[in-house]
Amino acid sequence: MPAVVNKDICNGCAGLERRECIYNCPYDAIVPVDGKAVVDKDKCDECKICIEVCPVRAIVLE
Amino acid sequence: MGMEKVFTPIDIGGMTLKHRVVMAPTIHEMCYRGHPTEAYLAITDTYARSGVSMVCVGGATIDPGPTGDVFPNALSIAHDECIFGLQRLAEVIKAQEAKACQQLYHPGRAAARYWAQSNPEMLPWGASAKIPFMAAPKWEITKKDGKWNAVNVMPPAPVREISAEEIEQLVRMHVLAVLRAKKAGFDAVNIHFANVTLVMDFISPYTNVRTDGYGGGWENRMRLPCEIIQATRAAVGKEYPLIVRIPADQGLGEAGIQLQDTLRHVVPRLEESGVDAIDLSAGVLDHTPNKIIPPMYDARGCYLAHSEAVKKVTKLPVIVAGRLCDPRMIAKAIENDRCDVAALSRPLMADPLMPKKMIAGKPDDVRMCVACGYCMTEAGWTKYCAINAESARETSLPKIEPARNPRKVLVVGGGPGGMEAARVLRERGHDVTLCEKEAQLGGALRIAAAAPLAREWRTFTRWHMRQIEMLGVKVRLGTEVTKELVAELAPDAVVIATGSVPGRDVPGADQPIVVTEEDVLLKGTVIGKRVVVIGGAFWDVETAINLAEQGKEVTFVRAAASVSMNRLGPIRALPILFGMLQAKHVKPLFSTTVVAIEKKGVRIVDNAGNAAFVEADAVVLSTERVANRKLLDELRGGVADLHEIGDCVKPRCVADAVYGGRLVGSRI
Repeated sequence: MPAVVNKDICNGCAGLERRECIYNCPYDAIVPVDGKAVVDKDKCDECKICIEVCPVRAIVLE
Repeated sequence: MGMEKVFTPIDIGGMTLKHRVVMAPTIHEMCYRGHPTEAYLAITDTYARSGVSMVCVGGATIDPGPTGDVFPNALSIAHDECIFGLQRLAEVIKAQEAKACQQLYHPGRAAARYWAQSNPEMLPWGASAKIPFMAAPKWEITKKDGKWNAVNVMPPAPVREISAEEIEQLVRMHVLAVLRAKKAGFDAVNIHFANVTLVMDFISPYTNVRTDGYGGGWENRMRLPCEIIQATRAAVGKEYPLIVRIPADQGLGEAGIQLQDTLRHVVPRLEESGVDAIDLSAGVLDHTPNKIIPPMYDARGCYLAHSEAVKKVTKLPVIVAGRLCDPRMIAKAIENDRCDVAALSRPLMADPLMPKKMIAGKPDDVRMCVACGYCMTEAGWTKYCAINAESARETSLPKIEPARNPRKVLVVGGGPGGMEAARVLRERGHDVTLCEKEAQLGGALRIAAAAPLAREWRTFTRWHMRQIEMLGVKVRLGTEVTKELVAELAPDAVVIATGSVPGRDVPGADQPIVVTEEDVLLKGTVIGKRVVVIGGAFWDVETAINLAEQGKEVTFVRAAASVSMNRLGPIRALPILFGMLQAKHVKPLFSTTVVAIEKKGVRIVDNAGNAAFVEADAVVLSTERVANRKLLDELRGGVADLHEIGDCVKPRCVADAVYGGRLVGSRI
C-alpha cells in the first residue's frame, strides 16, 4: 500500500519555496511530473512522512 | 551513505558530539530503590556500544519523598547516596566514547500513580489542584461476608497546589540534582519539562490556574522553568551543558501547550534564561500517552515538523525524537535542516547496532522499530522488545556463539518465531532448513500487516527474510511438513513453529456466510456489503476498520468490554482507535456475545441480557486464535530433539514467538 498522490488536489506546492513531499521523502520515491508529485511505488517504504507534510493533504496510502 | 551532515560533529554548550545520532532519554524500570541494577547497567552498556554519540539516561526523580515517586523501579537522583550508582552509569557510557547525559525531573501529579493509593492523606504536588492524575490503577481488595473480592479500578487521583515555599524547595531540588549528575561524571544534563513533570504542569494553561506570580499569562507560567535554569546555571557555571526537554505540543488542543505557544513563548524564554539545547517531545502521560510514544499508526519521523518550526525561532541546537526508526529518514531530516540531532529510544531497543549500521552504510540491515509499544507496557517499563528478544535480557539470554557441534536442523513454520529460530541457528553454524506451507514467509504477521493500520509489521518480516537469505538458511516455500517429510529429511533437531489458526468456537461457524480474517485480508475473498466482524484476536478492531474503509457496513462484536490490550496497553491509542471506528461508521458492540451465526446474520446478546439479530451478508471471524499442534502431536516421541515455539504452544503476541525463537536458537 504505497503512497499515492491525488492529482486533482496536488497543486505542486504552488507559491511555496519547495515541494514538501519531494523534499522530505527519505527514499527519493517522489518526482515531479507536469508540475505535480508522482510516487514511485517500488521505492516507497510507506513511512507516511509525505502525508504528514503535504500542505493540501493530497496524499494517502493506496 | 557517505559523509553526510548527520555524521558531522555538533557543539552543545561546549560539549562536542561526534555525530548527530543520540539515545533519547527513556525511563527504564530497572532500578532497585532508585539505584541502577546490574541489568540496567548492562542495557546502558548496550546503548553505549550502539555507536550513538550520546546516551541520555532517562528520568531520575529529584524528590526524595513520596511526592517524587512515580515509577516504582525507576532511577533516583534525589539524594547524595544516589551518586555511586549514577557514577557507574556514566562510566559505562563513557567507556564506549559516547557522551553521558542524565535526565532529571519532578513528576508532580504523576506521583499519584502509585504511592497516593496508600497515602491518601499525602497528596502529590500539582501546579494547581484543578487536574487530578487520570490514570492511577489501583487494586481494591476487600473482604465482605467472609469472602475476598479483588477489582482493578482506575480512579482519578487528586493533587494539591504547591505553596510558594514548596516552589523554592522544588527549584533547590533541581539544582542539587544537576550538581549530583555533574559530580557523578555526566557530561551534560537533560532537565525534563515535558510529558510527566511538575514543571510542565506549571507551563501549561491546562494544569496551571494559579493566581500568584507563577500562574496567569505566559510570562508567569514560564517563570518557574526560567528560575530553575537560572539557579542551576548559578551553581554549575557557564561551561556545563543544560539541555531542556519540552513538549512541542501537548496534544490537548487549545487547552494545553500548542506548537505556536512553544515557538512564541516557551523556546525564546528558555533561550534567554541560558539553556544550551532544546529537546522536543510531545504529549502528557495520563491524557495523551500516544503523543509521547507515537504508535505505528503515526508517520515515521512524526515530530520533525515540530523541530523544523522550533529551529526557525532559535539559534540553539534542536534535538527531536519520535519514530526515527530508519537511518534514511534521519539522514534526510538532518540534511534538510529539519532538526540538528536525532534522538532514538525505541529504535535502539529494536536494533542496538542501528547507528553503527548507519555509519557503515547498511541501512537495509537495520531491524527497524515498528512502534508496536511492547517496550512501554504497563507490565513494567523494563524495555523488552517485541522484535529484539535480546533487549533488556543482556544478563539472562545466552549470547549467539558458534555451535560446538553443528547439526542439521529443520524449522517448521516461517512466521516471526520460526524465522528468528532459523536466523539464530544458522548464525551459529547449524545447517538449517526452513519450511513454510504458504507461498510466502511471515506467518501471522502477514495478517497483521494486511490491515493498513498495522502495515509496519511487514518491515520486520522483510528484515528476517533478508537476514536468513544472507546467512544461507535453506527456505522451502509451499511445503507443508508431514511426518514422512521429516523422516525423509532426517534432521538432528526439529523446531515446530506452526503457529495458530483462527478460532471457530462460535455456534454456526460452519455457515456459508462465515469467512476468516485471513480469507478477506490475504486471500482477497469477496464478501457482501453488510459485515459482522466477531472480535477476540489482537488486531480485530484494525480488521473491522479495514473492511469499513473498503466500503462495507461493519458491525463489530466483541465479548470483552474493550479491545485487546494484551500488554500493549499504553499506546494502543484507544482514543485514536475509537475515533476511527466512529469515523468509518463501524458499529461497535462490546460486552456482547454471539449466540449463533445463522444463514442471514448473527444472533447476539449483551451483558444485560438484551438479545438482538444483526443481518449480515458475511461474518468475518477475527476471534481468538487456536494453536496449530497437528504436526507436533504427530512427531512427539518420534523425534529425539523436538522443540516448540510461538503460537503453536499457545497463541500469544509476536514478542513471545520471537523470544521463543531466539531462545531455542541458542539452545540447540
